[in-house]
Amino acid sequence: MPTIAVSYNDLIGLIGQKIPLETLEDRLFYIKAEVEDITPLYGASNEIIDHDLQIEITSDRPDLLSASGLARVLKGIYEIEMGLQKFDVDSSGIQCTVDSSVLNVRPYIVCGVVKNVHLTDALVRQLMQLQEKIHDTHCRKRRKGSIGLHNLDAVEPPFTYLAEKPENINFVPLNETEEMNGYEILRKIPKGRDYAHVISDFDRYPLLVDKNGDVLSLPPIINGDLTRVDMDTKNLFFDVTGTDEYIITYALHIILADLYDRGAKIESVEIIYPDKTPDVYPNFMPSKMNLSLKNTNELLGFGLNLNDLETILKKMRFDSKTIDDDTLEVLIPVYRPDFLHEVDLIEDVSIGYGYDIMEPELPQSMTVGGELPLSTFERKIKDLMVGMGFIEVLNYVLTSKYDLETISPFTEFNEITEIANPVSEKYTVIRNQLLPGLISFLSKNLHSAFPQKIFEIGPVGIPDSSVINKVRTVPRISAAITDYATSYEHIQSVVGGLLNNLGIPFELKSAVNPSFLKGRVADVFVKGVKVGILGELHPEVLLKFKLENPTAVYEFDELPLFET
Amino acid sequence: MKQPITLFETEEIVLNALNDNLTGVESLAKTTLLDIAQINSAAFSLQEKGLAEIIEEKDTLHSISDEGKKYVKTNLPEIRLIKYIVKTGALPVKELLMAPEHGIEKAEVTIGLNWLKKKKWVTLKKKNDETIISVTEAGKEAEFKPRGEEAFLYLLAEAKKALGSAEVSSLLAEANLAPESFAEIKKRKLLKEKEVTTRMFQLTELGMKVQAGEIKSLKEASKLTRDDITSGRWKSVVLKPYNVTATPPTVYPGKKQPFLEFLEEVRRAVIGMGFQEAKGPLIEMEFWNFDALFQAQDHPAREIHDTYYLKDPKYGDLELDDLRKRVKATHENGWTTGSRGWRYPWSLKRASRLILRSQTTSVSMRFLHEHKTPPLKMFCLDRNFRPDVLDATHAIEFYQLEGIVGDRNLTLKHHLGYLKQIVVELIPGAEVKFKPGYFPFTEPSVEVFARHPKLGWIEVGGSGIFRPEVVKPFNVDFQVLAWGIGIARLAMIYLEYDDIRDLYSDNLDLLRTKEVR
Repeated sequence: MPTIAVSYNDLIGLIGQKIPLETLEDRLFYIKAEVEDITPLYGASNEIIDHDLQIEITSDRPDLLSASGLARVLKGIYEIEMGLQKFDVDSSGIQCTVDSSVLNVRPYIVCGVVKNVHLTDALVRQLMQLQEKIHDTHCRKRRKGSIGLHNLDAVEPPFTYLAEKPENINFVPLNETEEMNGYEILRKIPKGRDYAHVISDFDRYPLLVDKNGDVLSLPPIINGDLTRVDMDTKNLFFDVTGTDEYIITYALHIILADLYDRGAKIESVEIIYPDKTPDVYPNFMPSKMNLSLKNTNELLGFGLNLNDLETILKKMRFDSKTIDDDTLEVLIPVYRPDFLHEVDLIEDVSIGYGYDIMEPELPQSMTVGGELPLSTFERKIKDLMVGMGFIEVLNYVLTSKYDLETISPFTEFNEITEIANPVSEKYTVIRNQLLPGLISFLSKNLHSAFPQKIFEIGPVGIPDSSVINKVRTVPRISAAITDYATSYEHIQSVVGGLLNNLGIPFELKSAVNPSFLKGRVADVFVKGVKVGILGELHPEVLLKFKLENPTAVYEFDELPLFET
Repeated sequence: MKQPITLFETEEIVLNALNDNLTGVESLAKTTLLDIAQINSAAFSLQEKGLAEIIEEKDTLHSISDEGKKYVKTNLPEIRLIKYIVKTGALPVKELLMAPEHGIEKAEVTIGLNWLKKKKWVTLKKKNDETIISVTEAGKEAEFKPRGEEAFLYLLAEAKKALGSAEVSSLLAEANLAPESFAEIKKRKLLKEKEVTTRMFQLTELGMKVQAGEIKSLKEASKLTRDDITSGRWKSVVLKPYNVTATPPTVYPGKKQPFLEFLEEVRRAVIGMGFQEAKGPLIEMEFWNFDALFQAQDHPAREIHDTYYLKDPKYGDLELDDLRKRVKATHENGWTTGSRGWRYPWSLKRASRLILRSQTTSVSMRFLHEHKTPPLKMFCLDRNFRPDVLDATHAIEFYQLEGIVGDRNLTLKHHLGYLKQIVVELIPGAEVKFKPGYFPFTEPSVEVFARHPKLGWIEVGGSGIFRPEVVKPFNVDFQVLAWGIGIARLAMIYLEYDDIRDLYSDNLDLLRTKEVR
């Protein structure tokens, strides 16, 4: 989830009412914004002049990624300003033409103009933060959308959004001093390298140019230095381009709403498409969704009436209109992308009602609890093993290939499943036996007192192309004894003690297995089916794990034992 | 009444080997076949019982040093030098130092010269800038005289063991070595000395009487044997008392794994609340882990840094059957759920990719696929996987306590009711608060926080009511409350671990000594 930095004073100023820090922190918690850290800021004579708040925002609410977004909701909660916010937008008369060349590269663009803005350090930081957070989360690291911010007065409309061959692109990228072509930009500058993968597969790169062919930006990589914004910039031009029209539309409106709340004047841009009728952006026309009172009460259990519902919606900054006894038509602001279904609206009602005042309640329905029979069986095995003096261990399912290849008691199941994206070389494969984990455990405890007797019950992954998941999750049980003098008979007596007490008749058959000493290894059969193996490990295996004492082990498949 | 005299087995043996003369420990060892430590221990307890006396004598043991041994073979350097000088006549010291034919090492020549001067066997005179050495009368005599030093060293070397003061005195007499010459030998480090205490034992009068049988003694034993019991000997056997308040010797009992035992407690608690256990495969298709949960195929959680993918095989078998068709339609356009859907082309192939499951919610979906008659209460307490580098705060595997409740007429308030009850079961007496959250498969979504008495507010887990887009494609027509509680955090608090790796500890001593709670 994204975390943003917000100044307490800024937030209070935007709300327009003094709210104590503690109350504010508490209130934010209940609108999906959790204050994670508060740092006081000191003035010249060491007095606290402000607080820096680090706030974590849930990932469905890009509109809360700035102080003004938070203030907009808080004004509703504190009933300072309720209902749908109005945005006055004039036409700028500026057109942006979409050239058909860009349609198969990065087809969508929306634009907006902001006039008479008074840029301050704090405002620029908020804008940059909002842009960066939206890029990283909702725009999937600029793949689905990216936002460009320009000094409008440095270029001449109308603008054209087109795709151009990299070798024909030539401009000075933002904060650079030399002209570069498309290839150079992707190779030489840091942002080029970071985001090259988004466009490098195309023959042509997207480009936004003005009337004279001067470059505003090479989306989603970088702007031209020409339209660089500084503290003296008065008029801003925004472009949002991408592959997802829905995302770039709400991204544009979130940013413009933000500046509008800080007193800027918003103007629209006409987008001319090659293949459809022109659109005008921004367009703050709310979307509509019906909300049923019955559905709301059924899901939340609050017992609201239509009036309550309308009041709560106003607090949450929606407008609504009564359709019938049960139905409201709710107007949803364009900067809120999180409405797929009526339940999303009902959630806003629950937030408006207050998570802090909801009374938890327990239903009356009767169910009988119980564990899986296999869990009961496993506990019996554990009790018997513990009774025989064994200590239970817990190893990871992910392990190293080396360990698995060094000991293979189950020679018939020695295929190993590898992970495509391991993080550490110690954990690259899914274990197909428990025993290597136990032996590796012993190798880490060479200086602990002997005898050492350990066991583990747990899942392994057995490749099996006949099942739909291709790798079966199979429960196993395994144990090891290591001591100055231990041998086959010790583990044999443990196996006998275990299986006899579980009432499982078994048969031991002499086996040949390279991991074990010759003549000291047996397969274990239950009802004619091989269920496991026991024996004394071969010194070659022991020494690979630096074990110096004789070690005897067993490993069983648990299911055939359970089913007996 | 007087205490009877009791004798432990070894005490009896030592008592019988002693008499009223002083006997050394070594000779006792020969006669009794006990080892020295046993004899000492028995003798001390005989002394405590007033049956024997121990006399300790301090003595110095002498033996020949390595340098001394050398001179037994080659003679003292001054003797070898005087013989040479007598043969050659007076000569410059320089030549003596250089002369190779006498076969004496240069270091030994220097030592020898010093002693020749000290013993006044030679004189040194300056002549033409050279120092001339010549033999005195005493020196000439000395060459032929028998010499006590050599005789003594020879005798000492012959003895082949360290000798006490008494034995050394008789050697000195035999070698005819004056005490001052003996002191010289010690100074020259031709001898090694060692201070020792020797113990001599003798019986007291009481001891003699017990040995003679005039006073009866009882047998004392360290162990009660089967023979003692069956033969009736136990009546006369006196068991040696133990130091019953001593620290007990260390024993490592068989034990269950501490973290798994904690999970067992959790399981018991939720079973007690009427939940039925379920499990599912660790190696899972994305369908159950994500698609069934209405997580879009480009959701960040499905990227390689958030989920482990299998290298080979890559895909499971998944058919576009009715269920898959409904899920596909729901993702693409909301199907008949009333949702707008995620608006993208859903890929069956992608849904069949094999992963290590990243959430036990996959088990909930498999459960809902098979159980459609409310009321339902299911839990799953099992492992999940997420790519991370293992360190003190990050695990590569994590246990999740997954739970769902399915019934008609369930509301958000019931959801909070269940969560509160579970949290209080896990952290007794905890205060609970709820935060609106976001998860792709629940709406409303609720994050659960609990106030721990020591740690303050901690996040316990995520939860919510399954979205219609999740349950409707499975033909589930009732409300499903769902939660996933990160149990590792609670386990660490309970077990007082600071390092998450201790949950999967590979330290046997930790497992052996960890208190069972």
